Amino acid sequence: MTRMAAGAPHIPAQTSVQKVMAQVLLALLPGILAYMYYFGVGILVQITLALLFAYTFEYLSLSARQQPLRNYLCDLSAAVTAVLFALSLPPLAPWWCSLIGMLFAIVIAKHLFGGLGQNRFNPAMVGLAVLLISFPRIFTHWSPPAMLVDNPLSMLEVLRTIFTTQPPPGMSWDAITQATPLDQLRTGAATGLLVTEVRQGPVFGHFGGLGWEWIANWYALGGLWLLWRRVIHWRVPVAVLLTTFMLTTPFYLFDPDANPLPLQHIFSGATVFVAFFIATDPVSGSATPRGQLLFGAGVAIIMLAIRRWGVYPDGVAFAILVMNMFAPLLDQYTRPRVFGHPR
Amino acid sequence: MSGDLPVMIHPAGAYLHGFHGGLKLRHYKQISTARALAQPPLPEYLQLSLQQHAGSPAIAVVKPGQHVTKGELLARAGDGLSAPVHAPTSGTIAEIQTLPLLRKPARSAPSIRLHPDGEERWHPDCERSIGNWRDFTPAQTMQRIAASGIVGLGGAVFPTASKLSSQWQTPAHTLIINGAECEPYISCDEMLMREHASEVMLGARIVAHALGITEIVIAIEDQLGALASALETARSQLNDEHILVVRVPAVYPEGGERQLIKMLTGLEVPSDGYPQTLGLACINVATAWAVKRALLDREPLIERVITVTGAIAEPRNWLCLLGTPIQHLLQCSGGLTDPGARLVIGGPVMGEQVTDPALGIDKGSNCLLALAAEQLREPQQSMPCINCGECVRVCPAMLMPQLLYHGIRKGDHALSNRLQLTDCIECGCCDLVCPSQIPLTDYFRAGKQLQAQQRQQQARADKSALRHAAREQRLQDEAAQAARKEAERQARASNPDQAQAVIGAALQRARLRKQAQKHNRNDTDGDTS
Repeated sequence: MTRMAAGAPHIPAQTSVQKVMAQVLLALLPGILAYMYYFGVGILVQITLALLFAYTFEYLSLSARQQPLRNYLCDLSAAVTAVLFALSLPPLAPWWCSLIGMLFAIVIAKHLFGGLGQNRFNPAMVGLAVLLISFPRIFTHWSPPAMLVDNPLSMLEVLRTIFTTQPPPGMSWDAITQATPLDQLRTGAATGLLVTEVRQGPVFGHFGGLGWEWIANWYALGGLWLLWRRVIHWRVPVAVLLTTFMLTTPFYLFDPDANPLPLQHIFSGATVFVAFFIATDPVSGSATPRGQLLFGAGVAIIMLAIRRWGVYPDGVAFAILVMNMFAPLLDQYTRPRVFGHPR
Repeated sequence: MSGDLPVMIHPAGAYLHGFHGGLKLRHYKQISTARALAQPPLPEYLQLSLQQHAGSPAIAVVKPGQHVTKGELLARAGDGLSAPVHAPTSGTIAEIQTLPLLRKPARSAPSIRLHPDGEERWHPDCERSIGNWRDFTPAQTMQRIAASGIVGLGGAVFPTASKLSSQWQTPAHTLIINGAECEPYISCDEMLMREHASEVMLGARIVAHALGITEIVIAIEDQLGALASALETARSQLNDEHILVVRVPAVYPEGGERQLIKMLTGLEVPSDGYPQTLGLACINVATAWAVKRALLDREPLIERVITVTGAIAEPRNWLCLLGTPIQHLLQCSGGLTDPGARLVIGGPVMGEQVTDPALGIDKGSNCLLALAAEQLREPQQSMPCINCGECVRVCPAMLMPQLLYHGIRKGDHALSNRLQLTDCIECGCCDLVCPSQIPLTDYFRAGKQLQAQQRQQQARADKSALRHAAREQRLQDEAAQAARKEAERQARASNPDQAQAVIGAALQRARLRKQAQKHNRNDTDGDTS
């Protein structure tokens, strides 16, 4: 009796897309908790909204594409996109930001390109870039860190702000929001202030922004856990952080009055978050060892260039999208030498 | 290639170099090493495939009904790469039929069924003295190895004599004995070394002697500390300081010849070359043992050690006659403990599912594994590739499996060629780390098959194109010649002057010839006068 033989290997892989995504979400948890601690519950509302819209669009797209819903709705990839996107929004951003962001992320960047694994661009960053370009004002409304606020907004006030898109009655945007450290550095430089003078401001901490620097540490902790779990590889985060440090150090040493500390660049804005969670997206990144180093370095270079010369205070979304375009090229030209072939 | 041959700075095994990729897998080896090596009772019948080796099938020299003795030649080696098959015990040939191969069920070959008579009477050739192996010329040793039907017992079943006698681009310097069995569950080489260490070393010395070298490296996995000391004891008994026992890290697929050589020497066997290119010979421990038995005990290869393990009542290693039916081995080992278990010949990562338990084990069968149902990879729908790069990280051939997968799926053979699909060793590492559960190795096997088919088709097409071109040319030439002749004929017919001229010229030539002859005759006349 001859049956159809199953091909080797006969034992299963110990991992799955769902497990990979779940670990990414878990690794984000310390950062999210720190975010809530320093900037209030707004971020939780944003994450909930983004998840809601993401799964609505995911469901509609999968149905329209006649894909098996059970497999794909459970893979958690839409959840990762939603959370990464929400963490890039100001905590008090209007509710429709998630709607627009997720529409572009899930429907256009992901499913119109062929769904999971086929997206050329990082979906979360596509959603973010659309908002950055279309509604730049939203990204001036960042909450101040908790240490600088006497009466933090209640949950109700936060919800009202997000859904009415107006500050709570009797308060102005200026009262409940504050320019970010990177914004202040930019405007400070424009008005001729020295970096050291700008850094005297209350929003600055030891290295980066007050509160922000600690969130970055918690993100880094999650990222290190992902490295240890082998969900991400060391090359991309190391390349992003090392390039940021190496590129800013000469500027700082040359003119410390006009250029912020290298650590400032790493610990403010989204540098650490991007290094561990955004630039490491495998689908839209490079899969070769050298390609990953170049990808990370490219992200850092473009990000710093936008911070220095661009009109946006933090250009990580654009840095990622530009490097996404280069990823196939990097894969093509950094292919490892095959075993037993000449060097 | 030969211009810039790598130079060995350190002797093989002096220190370890590592290789790219691979996986640390759980061993499960102790399951089958608790019981001592033993021989199962004689089975009712032996099913001996004539294709137990790489190359062409052996050609039967016995007829059904014929009585044979133990060690008697049943089938001689076929043309080209091939190996003979001998009777594992005395008995009667029942029938010769075509059956699927145990380890390649898609192919089939003639197979001899032998009914043992239980007398175990040896063939007279196996009892006749053949003299001391040290007095043999290399050619004699190799001839003996070939005639004994010895092939690579690690699973590649490449005829050993052919492997060792092929071209040496670098003078031979080291013999590597591969005891680094890296696939989980398999422990046949470990048990063989435990119980027959000095015989394995003797076999190695015989091969080394035939190659004109003395350096021997025996590589075993590093967690086998007890085995290492057993080997050291055997080595000191032999008093041979040229034998080096090296413990290599247990990383799958360490036992792959190219990976082991990289680990021991830091050198890569060229993709289009063999260990000989580097002056190295590499054989499995069981092969070395078979060589010893062929040259010292005059026994052809008729049995091997096989691990029977997994969801089995009494897992152990058997010293087992070739052709022993799978079902007999299962019975002797107490049967399955999980009725839903899958039988695999080989290990869990590279093994082949047993499709017919009535087939007999062959020379390359190192393990019979019963994988319990809950350990099996479920046939499930795989997710799309997310380009995570894990497969790139673990691929010991340093390929880019995810790009190869895309290439094969798209039918882009040029891409899979560029990505060196043929260098894939089908170790299955990529499958084991793929979060999307893509059966990558299946794709690569299919891709290689398609490539081979395409090459064949291409070769056939090229040949017929050549033939067609030749025919066209011939027809053209013939037509041209015919036309020329016709033109000449017409020219003569239409131009009487020219015809006259031709005739005149011919007459003139004849006249001249006649004159010349006359002249000659006159000369000779003059001389004699």
